[in-house]
Parts: sequence; C-alpha cells; structure tokens
Amino acid sequence: MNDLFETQREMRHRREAAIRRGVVAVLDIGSYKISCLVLQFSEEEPEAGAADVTMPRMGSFRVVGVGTMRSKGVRFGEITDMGETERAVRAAVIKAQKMAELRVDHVIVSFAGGRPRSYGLSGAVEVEQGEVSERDIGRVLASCEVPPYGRDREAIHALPVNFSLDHRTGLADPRGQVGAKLSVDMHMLTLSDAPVYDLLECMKRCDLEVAGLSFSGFASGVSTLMENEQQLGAAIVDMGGGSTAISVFMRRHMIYGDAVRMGGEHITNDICQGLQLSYDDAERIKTLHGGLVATGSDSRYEIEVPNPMAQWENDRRMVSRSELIGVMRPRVEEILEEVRARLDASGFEHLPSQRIVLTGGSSAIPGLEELAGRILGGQVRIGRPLRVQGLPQASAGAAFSAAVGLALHASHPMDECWDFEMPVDRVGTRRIKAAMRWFRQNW
Amino acid sequence: MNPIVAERRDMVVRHETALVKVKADPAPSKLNYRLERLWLTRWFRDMVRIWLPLGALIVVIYGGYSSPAVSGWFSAQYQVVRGVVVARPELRIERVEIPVGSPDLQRQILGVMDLSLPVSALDVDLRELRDLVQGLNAVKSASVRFLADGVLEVRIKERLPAVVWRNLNRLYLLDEDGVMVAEVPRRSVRSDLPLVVGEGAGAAMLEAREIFAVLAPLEGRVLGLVRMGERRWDVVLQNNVVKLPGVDGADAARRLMALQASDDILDRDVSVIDMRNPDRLTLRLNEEALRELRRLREKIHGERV
Repeated sequence: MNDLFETQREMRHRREAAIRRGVVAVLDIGSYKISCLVLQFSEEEPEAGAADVTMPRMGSFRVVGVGTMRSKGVRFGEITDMGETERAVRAAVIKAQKMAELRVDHVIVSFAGGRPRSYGLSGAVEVEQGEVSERDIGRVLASCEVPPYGRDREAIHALPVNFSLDHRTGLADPRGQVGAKLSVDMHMLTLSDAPVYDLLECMKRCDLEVAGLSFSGFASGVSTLMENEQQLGAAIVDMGGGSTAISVFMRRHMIYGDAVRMGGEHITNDICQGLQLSYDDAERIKTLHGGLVATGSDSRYEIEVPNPMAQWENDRRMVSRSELIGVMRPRVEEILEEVRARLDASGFEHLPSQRIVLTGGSSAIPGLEELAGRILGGQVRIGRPLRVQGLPQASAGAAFSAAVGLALHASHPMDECWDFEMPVDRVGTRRIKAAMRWFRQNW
Repeated sequence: MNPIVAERRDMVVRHETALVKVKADPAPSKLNYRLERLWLTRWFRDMVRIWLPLGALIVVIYGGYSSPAVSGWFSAQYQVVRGVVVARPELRIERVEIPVGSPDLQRQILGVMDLSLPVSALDVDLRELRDLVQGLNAVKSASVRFLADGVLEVRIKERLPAVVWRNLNRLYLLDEDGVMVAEVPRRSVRSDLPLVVGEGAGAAMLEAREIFAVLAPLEGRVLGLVRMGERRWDVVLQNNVVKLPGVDGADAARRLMALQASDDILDRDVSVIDMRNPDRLTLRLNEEALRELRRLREKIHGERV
C-alpha cells in the first residue's frame, strides 16, 4: 500500500506542478492516431457572451493547440515500434505546439493497452478522536490491503470510491463527521508494466515529462458521460482503433476498467481479407460506406473498389454495400459480445442505472447503436465528448473523447485524497526507495 | 482476492508482416524537434530575436568607431557625398541682401559675417551668422534666411543712438535702452543728442529719458544729466545745478518745471537747487546774491544775520 500511496501522490504532485506552470499537454496514444492537445490554464472566467453556446464550466482552461498524427507503431494500445511511435508523438506534439506557439514540457498521457485489471480494495480503522480528521483518512487509505497483483504489473489508478462510518455508507467525504469505525472501498486499476515503461521511455525520448498516466477508458468516461450517468452508474465503451476500453462509473468514480483487445483496425483487417483489398482501400470504404444493418437497398448499392489486377481501363470491380456489411458485422458483434462478457463479470447489471455509452472512433459506424442495443441491452447511446473552450470542431468528435477527458481530468482531478498525510509509522525507507525508483524510471 | 475479470480469449490478429521496409510516416527529425522546442522557449526566442541582433549592432557600431581605418573610410565617403551635394548650383549663395540699415552698418555686417561668396548653403550656419550679426553693438536683433536665386537675406533692427554718454573721458552713443551703440570721438559729432555723464548712467536710461522729456521746454538750457553714485541724477543747467532725488526723479523734475513756471527759479541767482529731500527744497545762492540778501535783511529788520 505504501508504494501505491507514494506513486499516486508523486503523480498528483507532478501534475499540480505542471498546471501551476500554466501549460500542460495531454496526449492520447491510440492505435489509430496519436492526438495531442495543449491546454493553457488561466484564472479568468470565459467571456459571458455567446449565451446560445452551452459551454460547461469545467475548469478554467483553454485548448490552444491541437495536433493529430497517424500512429503506426501502436497495436492494441501498446507500443510495438518505439521509433515509429516516437516519431508520431513528435509530429503530433510539434503540430500542437506550433498552433499554440507555446512550448510544453509536461504531458498527461492516456492509453488503452496493458491489459487492465480492476481490483476492489477495502480497509478499516478506528477513528482516533471523535470526529474524522484528515489523518484518519490517510490511515484508512493506508490500511487497505493490496492484493498480490503480480510483480509485472503497475497500479495506475487507485481511488477511494466510498467511505463508510460505522453503519452509514455512501459518504464521499467523511471529514468532520463523528463515528468510531471508518472504512473505505477503493478501486484500483493495474496494467502490465512493460507497456507502461515503453510509454514512459517513449515520452522520455521525446523530451517530455510525464505528469500523469491514465487509462483511456477512464478519460473517455470523464468527458462523455453525463452528470447523472456518472452518478447513477453507466458504462463507457471507447471503441478505438486497436482496442476497446471499457469502464464503469458509479457515484462519479470509476469502479471498473477493462479493455477488449479488438477495435476498428480488426474490422478493417477483415474487410481487407474478405474483399481482397489493400489495407488503405479497406479503411477508406469502411469509413465512407461502412454499416452494420443491411437493408434491401444495400444490395443494390454498389461500391467501386480499386482493382489492382485490372487488364484494361474499364475493368472495374464492384462490391455491394451488403457484402461490406456482411464482413463488418460479425467482427463488431464479436467485439460487443466480448464487451458484454466483461460488463457481466464486473457486476454492471447490479447498478441502479444501466446506461451504456459508446464512443471512440469506431462508434461512428452507422447502425452501431441498434446492434449494440441488441447485444448489450437497452439503454445505449453514442456519446461525444463535452465541448471545451478552444477545441476545433474537427477535434470535437467521438474519436477525441479520451483526449478531452484527460483535459477535463487535469483541470478537475478527483484524487485529492492523496493529499492526506501518510501515517508516520509507515513513512521511512520506502519513501527513499520510491524516489530512487522514480529516478531510475525517468532519467 | 481475485481480479474481476472475464474469461479472456487471446486474440490473434493477422497483420501482414512487412518484409519490405515500409516508408515511415513524415515526422520531424529529433534535431528538428528539439530545435523547434528550443525556438518556442520564451527566453531563447527573445534572445535570438532581440538581444543578439542588438548586441551585434552595438559591437559593429563600436568597432567601426574605434577602428581608424573604418571610421576614416566612412568619413571619406561622407566627404565625397557631401562635396557632390555642396556643388549643386541650387544651393549656391551669390549675394547677401541687407534691406535696412545705414551703409556703414551694412559694411560692418558684411565684415562680421566674413563670407567668401559664392558659398554653398550647406557650409553656412545660419544660427551662427545671426549670432555674429546680433553681436554687433548697433544691431538690436537680426534674422538671417535663404531666399531663392542664391540670396542670403539679413534682416536687422538697428539700435538708434538716443544719448551721448561721457564716461572716463570717453564719449559713447547709447540707445534708448542704455545699450552702447558706438563710440564717438567728439561731442560735436552728435550735438543733437542730449548728454549724460557718470558711471552707471546707461542702467538708468529710462528715468533719464523721462527727465529729458519733462525738461524739454527748457530747450538749450539743459547741458546734461550727471549720474551721482549710480543712484540719482543731477541736472546741469547753464547757470545752476538741480539735485534730483534717487526715487521719483522725474516727479521732482516736474516740480522743478512748476517752480520755474511760477517763480522763474532757474533764472534767479541760485547755484544749486537741492530737491533730494522731497519735503524741503534747499537753495544754495551765489556769493553775490547771498551778500545782497543779507544786506536787504539788515536794512529791513535792522539786524545782522
């Protein structure tokens, strides 16, 4: 628990230092694209005009630079080609910096790889003096028993979801309340450490300092879920290029996170093989003509595809849209069924509300809502991220929900609990060890 | 405690592994990236864009000044260019015109300006010329300007002599402000002007002029004014001397004129009329008159005074 405590505090302090400097970048490392937003934090309120624009007042930041680059070196959300990823990150960052005319040194990263696993932790302590103090909260957080999640894994999210005081539960902040026994439920998300270290190494090669690391499903949830959905319980399914991140929110906290290692690229791959097209052509007809629900007119909807084997100039090759749908649909069904299995395992059906929000680049496939409704259950909608100040229209789509979510998370973090002091008896050589480890990782 | 996981199937994705080296996506090189970031750093950008050019400029200018070869070359170039411009006929001055002033003064002005005509307008310092001309005693103010067709016009206001001032056995002409205009050899040269005598006479010229104006009806009887102790005036008349007070000398002169009108005081046998005490007029009689006065008193009152 101590290591966890230290790393979380470390991360939080670095992020706060970055935000105090006023400029921070968020970087969403995806399998299809790498997008970078440069945020500028300021005290001033957004201007009062433009009453017809409903702009949520989520922190006083402004997006001043946007850069997006195709990523070739990432698969399943994990870095497979360091050089290629590094180049793509450089290209995205330089583009965003040029637009912002600012240099960014601190970057908050999100990615969907690393086979996330969720753990529920709980801990309990006796309250020292009548009412709960910050020290008690530090103690109860420290008292959580951390399961042996494996030596090759790293905990990247660990947040208290619920505090209970004696027999009262559902407290968000028990400070100042009177009770005898304080217990906490925490949610912890671990990732394989190799992809995380790859990512840190990649950031180091790009001269960027990592001020935070997030699971992209969490970031998408922050930006896409409505207030009441976050409160009552909702699942966010971020269908990316190489993997599909799932997270479940309840009472404004992520209580479960997972990822299916399939995404839009697999659909494209199927089209490639099924229709015998090059990868780029398959991507093109997928985005232009793709769909999931075939109707009668779709069999008459002929799509001309490039024919590299053409013998004469009018030797054309046509594919009907229903054929395309026939190739795409099984794969999407497979992804959604996998998502269904993960959600079932998470106990999603016990939540008071079972809203499912689909987002990410692949959520733009026409007919996905209907298909997802059939597989995942009733309340499905396609979600787009909240509108934030300064974000161009082209970057406000569902494909950018993780990046926008990171921005929102940076301005409104929910991990204030790590500010509490660690109990004295547990501080010691561990802290030095943590510092040494931090040095090893970052220098 | 077990992780909350569903049963996982490992996905095998069949990407074609490229045997041929695929062309990489366009991206800035590492050097390019670092330079770009360096360029976006505020202090660096300020340094390159402002401080370095400024420093280089200062170094170049300072170097140019300190090296005799460079500064010599520059001044030579400057002289060449200047020579070309100076030689332009449009800038040549051929005549000096002085519209007012006596011929003597005009000659004096030309001598002071000391221009060797024709001269280029660039070589003429108008301010200096004006100061030279104004330095002449007889010139009150002057303005010097270029006119078209190579004419240099000197417009002056002359100082006109108002009085002759004798001091330390020399004779000068003063204008109405008491400024010296010229020196004259003899009084007879300007016998038309009244005479003042004494140290500091020029400084009290205003009062002197007023006194002269008051005494004007006496015409030829006034020989001149004498400044006494740089404080007050004596009026020297043909037969007598009037001592005026230090303050309100002109008023005293008016009183004198009234006395003259009523009692012909100046025509009497009085050597000195002392008006210094405003409450009491004191007369000093001549020897002859005094004796006669005593005789008459003795005769009337039967007493010796």
